[in-house]
Amino acid sequence: MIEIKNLSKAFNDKDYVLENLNCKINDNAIYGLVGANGAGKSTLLRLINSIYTPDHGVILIDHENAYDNEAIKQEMVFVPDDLFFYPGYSLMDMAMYYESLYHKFDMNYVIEISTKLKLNPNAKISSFSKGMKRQCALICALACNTKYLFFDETFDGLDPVVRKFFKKLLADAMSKNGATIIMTSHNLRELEDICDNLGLLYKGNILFESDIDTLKTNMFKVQISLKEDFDRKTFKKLKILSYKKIGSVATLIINEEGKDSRKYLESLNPMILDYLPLTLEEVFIYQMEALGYEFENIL
Amino acid sequence: MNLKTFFSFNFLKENIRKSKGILAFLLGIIPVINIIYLIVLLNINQSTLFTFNSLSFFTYVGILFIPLGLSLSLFSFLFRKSSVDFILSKPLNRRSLFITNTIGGIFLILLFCLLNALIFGLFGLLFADLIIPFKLILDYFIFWFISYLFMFIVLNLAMILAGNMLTSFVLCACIVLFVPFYHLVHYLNEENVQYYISCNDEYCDDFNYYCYKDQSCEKHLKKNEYQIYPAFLMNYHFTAPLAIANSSTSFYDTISIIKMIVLSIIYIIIGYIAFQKRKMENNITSFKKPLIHHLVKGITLVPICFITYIIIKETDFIGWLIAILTIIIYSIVYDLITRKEMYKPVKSTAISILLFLVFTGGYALNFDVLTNKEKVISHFDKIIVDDMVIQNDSLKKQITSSLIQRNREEDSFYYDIIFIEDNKEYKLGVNVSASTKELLEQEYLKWQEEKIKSFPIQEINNIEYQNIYIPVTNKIKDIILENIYQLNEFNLNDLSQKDILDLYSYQDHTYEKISIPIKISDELYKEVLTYQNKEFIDYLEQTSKNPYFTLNIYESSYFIEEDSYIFDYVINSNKLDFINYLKYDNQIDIDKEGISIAIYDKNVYKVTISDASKFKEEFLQYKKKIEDEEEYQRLLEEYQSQGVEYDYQY
Repeated sequence: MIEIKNLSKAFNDKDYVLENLNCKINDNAIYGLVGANGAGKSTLLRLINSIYTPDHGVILIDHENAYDNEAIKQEMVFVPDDLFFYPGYSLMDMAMYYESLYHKFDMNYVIEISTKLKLNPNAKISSFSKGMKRQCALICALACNTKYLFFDETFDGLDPVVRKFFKKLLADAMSKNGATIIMTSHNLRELEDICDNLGLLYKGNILFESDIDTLKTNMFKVQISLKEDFDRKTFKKLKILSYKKIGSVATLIINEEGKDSRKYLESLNPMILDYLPLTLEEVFIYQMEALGYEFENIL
Repeated sequence: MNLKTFFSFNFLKENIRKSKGILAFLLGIIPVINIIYLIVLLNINQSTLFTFNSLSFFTYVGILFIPLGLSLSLFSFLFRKSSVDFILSKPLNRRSLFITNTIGGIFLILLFCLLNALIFGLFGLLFADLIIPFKLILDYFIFWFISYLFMFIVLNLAMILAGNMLTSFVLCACIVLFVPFYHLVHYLNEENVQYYISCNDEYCDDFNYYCYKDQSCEKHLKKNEYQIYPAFLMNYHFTAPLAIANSSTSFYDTISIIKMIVLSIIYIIIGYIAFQKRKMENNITSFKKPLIHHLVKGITLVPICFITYIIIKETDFIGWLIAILTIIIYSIVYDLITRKEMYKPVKSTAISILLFLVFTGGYALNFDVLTNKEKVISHFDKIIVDDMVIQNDSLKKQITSSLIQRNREEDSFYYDIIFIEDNKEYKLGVNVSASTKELLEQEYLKWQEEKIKSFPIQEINNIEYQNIYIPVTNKIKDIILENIYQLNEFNLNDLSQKDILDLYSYQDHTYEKISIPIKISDELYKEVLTYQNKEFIDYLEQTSKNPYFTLNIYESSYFIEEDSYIFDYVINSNKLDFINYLKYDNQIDIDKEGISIAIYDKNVYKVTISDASKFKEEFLQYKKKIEDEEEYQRLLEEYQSQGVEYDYQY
């Protein structure tokens, strides 16, 4: 289990990228970390992997301080957004490099997966395309057989077929090896498919954490029209994340949080009442909007 | 304690594997150049007595770029975010990373130095012409191993502290050059001092000292202070990268080695702490904290402000203008290089100018560089002539008084003498009187005798007779050892060049040389001449050239001047007969007055003919054989036409 307590990190003295962050990630799950650009997702992964030093706070992995802890790092592998390969190295060279450092590294796995993906393990990685390079990094990481896997922008550059293939490999790693996978992505649809839990990082802190099913079943897009004139105040009993009214029809984004909104809205005798499910992307956008993130200024 | 938490062999192995190409180049280039150098020396067919510097030349050239290459291959990952992510996420802690990389680098440097030492050792063993004493190889190994290690550690520290390559170079230069820079300012200060020596004893009752209406000189003269013009020797024992600036003739410097060891330990500790605490997000741009950025820039401004200070001193207003412009341009360029941007240009330039004013003020107030100052030396602690420390007080006074003699009318003899006062060394060219010279020679003789007594004959590395190399054999060593007690029978002062044998032994990081009489033992003399003659004959047999012979006739009555003029032609025309004569008829007889014939080619070859009168007869035969030849006749006519103008120097 990963426990993050009061974690803070600033890149200069004033501006904190992460501030007093607290979070718990359970074992044997795939945890998706989302957030706007600059929210601190990559920084958090680098802190967990002891690449950066926290200014305050502590990261516990299996109840032990993870910072610069060689034994714990033996159970962690990190694939960053910006990949690095030694000049002139082939996939096999990289695999040998990993093999020398990770006790549980499985060379046969590298050969097996690279064969399936038709990657020449002896060709220089520098001659590979962006997607092929990421495949190499992912193969090496998965072959380490570590308990914790961290992926930053996991599927960046992979084509849909390969993407699906790796999703299966990640699921296998979780189910067969009991691995815990923490991944960041901007593509929420991607996380929606694979993640069990999702954390939204905003202004240096985890804004909310939830399992995906709860997230999707708790938030709805509701289109409603009432006989009488109405405004946002009419629905003050509900937790409304977003409210837009065009003509006589209003679109509400409601966070249920245990309340039965349908019963309440039906009591208002609506002319139109439609409940629409939200995609994860919409959940993310509306949550952010509710926090004042001005998408309209960007889009 | 688990050593694996300090050192990861696998990581080291992988580090070496990933950089094998560049490492092979770095570690191989100097050994390859050294091999080529040794082969070239062998090909010029000359025996070479290696000194520490001649052995170290190419190694010295590599002092910066080889440790730099090593540091870059081991620590340059700190300069890129992607490589930092890659390395730091691996199952190694920072301590283990630092120690593995440092020990790995040291191991490679050890390998490099061992390889070079091995090459020198092998060549020395295989080729007698290359004289490389074992102790010299040991010195080479120790000095260069520590020097390379020192540079490697300095570069590592600079890379750990800096965020990009260029800043790390700047930082490295700051670390290596800052203290020497202070010494340079001190040196320049000393160079601008007017030195006077105070002398009140009878030796300085100097009738030849004139002041030429120089008021300052007259003022000092009244106090018995006389101006001298010494060259101040820069004796600061700089670390290896600046070894060339040390006043010592050899790069090898024990104090410098101790300095480098101590500094290496300090820098390793600082590097270790800095690496543990390093903010790994600091890459691409360096020193994100403005204070540190300006601090480092400030350090680099210290020498630049010294240059601008000199410009200001030498000029007036224009000097200030040039100085300020220089500082502004430097400030901008420095920021562009180290931060990849114009970092707050107005504020940055203002800070630089402020620092410039502070440093310039500092130079003007404290160092007072380039301002003439006076220093009166009351006495010298040590006077050294040709490595001999003068012990005789009377002689010391005489030499000191010789310093202040001007326009000496009597015969004088020139010496380069080193004077030491208060741990400062000065070099002066001194003209001494005949009586002082005599005293000096007596002192030198005593010193030589003492030296000969303590000379380690068993450890002779080189023998020279008349500047020609003689191989060091056990037989020769034994002869010298058995006969050295007879030294008292000879007056070393009376010996000429042809009477002495020079012995060299590499002791205490330099060659100790003594000269002994070759005739200390007939056997020794015979041994040396036999070797020289054999070499001469071998050369004559092998060469296709007609060499030029230089005839040294100790007893001039055997040959007439005409013979000297035609000697080359006659001998070359009868080469085979001459070789046969040398081989079979010229038995070495040390009791007879001999003739010495030398050939100066790439190497020098000499033959000693023991029986001059016999050889004269042989020579007449040669002449007879060719007397009808046109060329011979032409040479004779040429000689006769020159007549008395031809002055052959024996």
